[in-house]
Amino acid sequence: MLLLLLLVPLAGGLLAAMFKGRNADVAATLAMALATVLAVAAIPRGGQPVEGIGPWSPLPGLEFGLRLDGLGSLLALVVTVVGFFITAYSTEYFSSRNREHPSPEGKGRYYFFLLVFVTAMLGIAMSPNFFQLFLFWELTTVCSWALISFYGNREALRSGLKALAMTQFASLFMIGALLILYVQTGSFSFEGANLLPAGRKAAFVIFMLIAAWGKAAQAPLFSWLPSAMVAPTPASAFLHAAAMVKAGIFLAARCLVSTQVLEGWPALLVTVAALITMYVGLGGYFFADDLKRLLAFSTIANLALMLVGIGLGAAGSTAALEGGLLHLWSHAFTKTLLFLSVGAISWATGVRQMSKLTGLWRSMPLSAAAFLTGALAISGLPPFGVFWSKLLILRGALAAGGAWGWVTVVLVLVESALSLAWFLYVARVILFGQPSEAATHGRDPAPVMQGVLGSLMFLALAAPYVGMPIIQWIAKGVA
Amino acid sequence: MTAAMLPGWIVGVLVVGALLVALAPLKSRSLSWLGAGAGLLAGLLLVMFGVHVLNAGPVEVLWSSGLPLDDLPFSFALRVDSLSAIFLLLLAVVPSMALLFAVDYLDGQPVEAVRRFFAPFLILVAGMVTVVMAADWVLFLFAWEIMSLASYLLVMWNWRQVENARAAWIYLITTHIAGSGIMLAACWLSVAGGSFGFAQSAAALASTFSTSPILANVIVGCFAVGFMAKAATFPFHFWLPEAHGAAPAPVSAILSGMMVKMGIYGMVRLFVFMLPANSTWSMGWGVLLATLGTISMVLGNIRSLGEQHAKRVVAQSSIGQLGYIVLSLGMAVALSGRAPLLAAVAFVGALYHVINHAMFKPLLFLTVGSVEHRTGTYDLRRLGGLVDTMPAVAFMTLLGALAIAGTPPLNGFASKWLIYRSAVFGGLEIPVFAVFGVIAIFISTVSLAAYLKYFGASFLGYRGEASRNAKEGPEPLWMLTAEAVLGAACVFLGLSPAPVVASSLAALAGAPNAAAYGATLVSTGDVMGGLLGSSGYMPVAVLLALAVCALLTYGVWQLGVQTTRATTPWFGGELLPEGEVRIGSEHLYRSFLARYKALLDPLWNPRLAAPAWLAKVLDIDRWLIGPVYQGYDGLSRLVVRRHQGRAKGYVAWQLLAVVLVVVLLVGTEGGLF
Repeated sequence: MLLLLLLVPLAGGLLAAMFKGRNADVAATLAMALATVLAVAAIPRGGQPVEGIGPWSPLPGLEFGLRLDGLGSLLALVVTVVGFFITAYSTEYFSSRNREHPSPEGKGRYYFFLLVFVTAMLGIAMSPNFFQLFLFWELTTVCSWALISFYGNREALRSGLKALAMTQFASLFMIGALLILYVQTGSFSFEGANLLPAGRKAAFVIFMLIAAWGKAAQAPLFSWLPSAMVAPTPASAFLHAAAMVKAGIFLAARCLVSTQVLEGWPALLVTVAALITMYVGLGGYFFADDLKRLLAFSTIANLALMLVGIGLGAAGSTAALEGGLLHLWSHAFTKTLLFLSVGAISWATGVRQMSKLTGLWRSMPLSAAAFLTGALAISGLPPFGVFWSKLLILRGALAAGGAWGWVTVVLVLVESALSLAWFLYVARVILFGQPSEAATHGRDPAPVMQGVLGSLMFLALAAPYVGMPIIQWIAKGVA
Repeated sequence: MTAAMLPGWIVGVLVVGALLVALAPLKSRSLSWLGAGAGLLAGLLLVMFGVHVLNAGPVEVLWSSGLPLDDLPFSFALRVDSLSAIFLLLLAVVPSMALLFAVDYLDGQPVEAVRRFFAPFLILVAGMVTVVMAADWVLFLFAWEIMSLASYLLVMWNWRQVENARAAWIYLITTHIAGSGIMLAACWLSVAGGSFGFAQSAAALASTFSTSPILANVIVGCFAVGFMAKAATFPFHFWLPEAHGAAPAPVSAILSGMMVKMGIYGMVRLFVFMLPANSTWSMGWGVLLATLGTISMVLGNIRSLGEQHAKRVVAQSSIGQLGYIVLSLGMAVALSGRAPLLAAVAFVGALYHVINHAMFKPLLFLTVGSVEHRTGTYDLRRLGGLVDTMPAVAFMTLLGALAIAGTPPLNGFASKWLIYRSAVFGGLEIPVFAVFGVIAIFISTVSLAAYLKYFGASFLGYRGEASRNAKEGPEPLWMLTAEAVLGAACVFLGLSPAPVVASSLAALAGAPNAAAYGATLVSTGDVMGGLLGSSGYMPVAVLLALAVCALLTYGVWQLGVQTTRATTPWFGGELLPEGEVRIGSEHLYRSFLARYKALLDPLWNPRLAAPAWLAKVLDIDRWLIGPVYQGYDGLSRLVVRRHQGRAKGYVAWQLLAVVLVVVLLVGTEGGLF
């Protein structure tokens, strides 16, 4: 079944690449729906990971197989559920009614890369060792490049190259880590990392972290993410908010959950670097006129918060780890909601700049409500999911104790408050007041897009209650 | 139905009512009645429950008993004691009357506007009810947040004016930034105490006070900032005039009437129920609260004197009245243990003023709403002379104005009497309280002046331009009914203070430090009367005296006054156009206000702007990635120049590589590396 889960999106992508127009839509959406059903069915029950294909070892030390444990299942669910909604949304987004990009050309190419990307993320989730994880990691880089450069203009090509160069630079460090592992232990398995001697282990962890930081757009390798917003909005939502950047977080979590290498001073480093990145992300908010750029910086800050949770979890706090993973889960739905509502706005009005948009509520109430809900949700207000993750991280920080815990808590709260203030300001400027000239063209988008927005609004509220059992199980395994 | 099921039913009625109002395909009037009906039903249940708790003692309910929350350190636990019961009774009356008022106020509005009003309103009430009943910090924070969000949506009801959106934004930001302090403190206490329950947190705070008092005071400070921001205490008061001025009248009524009291509720729970009484800390916090309360009192009331917008007059006055409450609460905390009987009097005064304010402030906001409904404006400079067309509303306004100014025998006097007495006598213990007491008495006069200005400018005198263009017809029934109920409550609470004082003492008795607050030592009669050496305040006697004076005045008037006739005013031998000789609201108290000019301007206006150099620092492409990439590009160009397709170049590279490999091999063999 895990093999099926891996291959269904791939098949869907190949089919969609061959078809045109509506047929491509149907093929892609069906493939994603099937993948979602399979991912839900494959959730490990009874506390045991699901063994897919057993290890197949063509060369000594090299193993391939599929294995879905709690952490992998979390990522698989995020990727498939969010991917399904994105694909459904894309069916109507790519049409001539889209004021921002009126040409529906290239749908097949788009779906191909999108679904191959889903395959790659599922591969990362189901990898039983570091080498296989690396192979699928590189595949996501390729898909990301293809989707960023989708529109083919000069800026898109440059941004694609920048993203490729920066994430590839980070991946070189992952290759270094894999080499250290192989040379020392002769295999790439997760458990093998525990056998490394002290100095090599530190080097291994740092190299893995650099790879994770590059992929997750943490300082100083973050500038590719705001530039990557030239991609089509559903692709930006998926790759650069909900899924691909989460692969970096997943790698750090995998190092914590499946190995014991993330402890001691690297754990502290993760937390400190994450706190710095959180403020870098926050700083970017104030200079972003393009709404997608604002959301990109928000993604950077939220990914940093997940790493704060993981870093504190590595320092011993189970609650913080749960918080970090819950944030991964809730943020996926919430950020997708925000991106897709901005997509609806640009679809209807043709502009994405805050300076040109006011009074959108009058002409596009559902999209405006979606943006406002997303803005409130991402800021960590109850009853939305992000509140729980922030609460758990704060509690974990205080339990980890000492002055560091307090400093972390204060920094996180200040950043949350400023982020809330800015998002509410943006929501107020673009949604209320007299409609600007661009906003008068606005109308709520096609029914499928509206349905997706509505479902995501519900999930932003309800998702944590669904994800919490899995997350608690993962955290128990670490404790 | 047992008492333990009532909280669930109350919240259920409110939430189901909100959902029905949001979704049911009915006409506006039916939806309004649906919403008001849900509120009234919930109010009835709240009265039943509140009275039960006051008679039978605290009720504990666990809402999360079926849920799989065993491993988690929180539960949805409720504990309703007498203090909560008092607030629940307030929540029974005030929202119901505001909803009843809204049925007529929203007459003629489109369906979606009606939905957007009633649904968040009912959710707001549900949130407030849960805040007051919660016994666990997570449930408290959850309900607190729902309360803030629902009130944000209500303040934004008139979203088409962008200044309303701005006011709502300031409000939401302030309450959240301050509220994050509550979250921080609750998290720390949960870590120290093991879970988020109130009892465990209180125990953790008590033990922290004995081990590291500075940390404990920081925790108390974090809580206090959050609660003070909600209760619009100086220096966190700046959001209230904006938000309550921007909201429609019934919303301002509930916000000023009940929601700011949630901050007071939090402060009572924190300072009276959790802080150790009779210590340096309680003295320090008490004096701080009393000082901030006095500053709020002065600021709010003097500013309300200078306002020309009717809603802002009442809103600024809210800050002032909350100052009274915080002053009295601070005095109670400071005097606890030192002068327990005075502490009890001060506490009762604070709680009594909470109840009174919850009656006369919504009354005043609703009358402002009635006037606006009729004339279309809040501008006092354009109103006037409405007493002929709206006599009932005028009477209600006068009642409310006299009540808030503290005129016997109305309710405002009863609570202010307690506050003055505890301040003046408390001055024997802590001298600064006597000064605060004198200021409080003076500010009462200012408050009376402000409301007389409001009353006169709206209803008396010359008919202003908006009054002349006002709608005709009888005053809407339900608006009058709501105001009448609140007015009757003001009178009743003034004439019979005993039940209020008794329940306040019962609330105080529920505190762990009740002995330090003298709750068990004083009785109701002591508080209102003989305790501080006088025969006490007997409202009925005052009423009789006033009746006798009124009869005498009427008799003298009948005997002595000639017939009157109405005429146009003339001045210095000329008949001037009426507009020129009118004394408008903007002309009153100018010399007084000129003296206090410094207080009238906003003291600080928070702005959100990022410095320009930050953009340069964040542009990492310019100073890091860019140069690194340029360097790499330059290096690769350098290498490319060596691979130009000439055979000699490639042979040179190969020779270099061979030499390098030989050196490496020889070196490793020979032990060099």
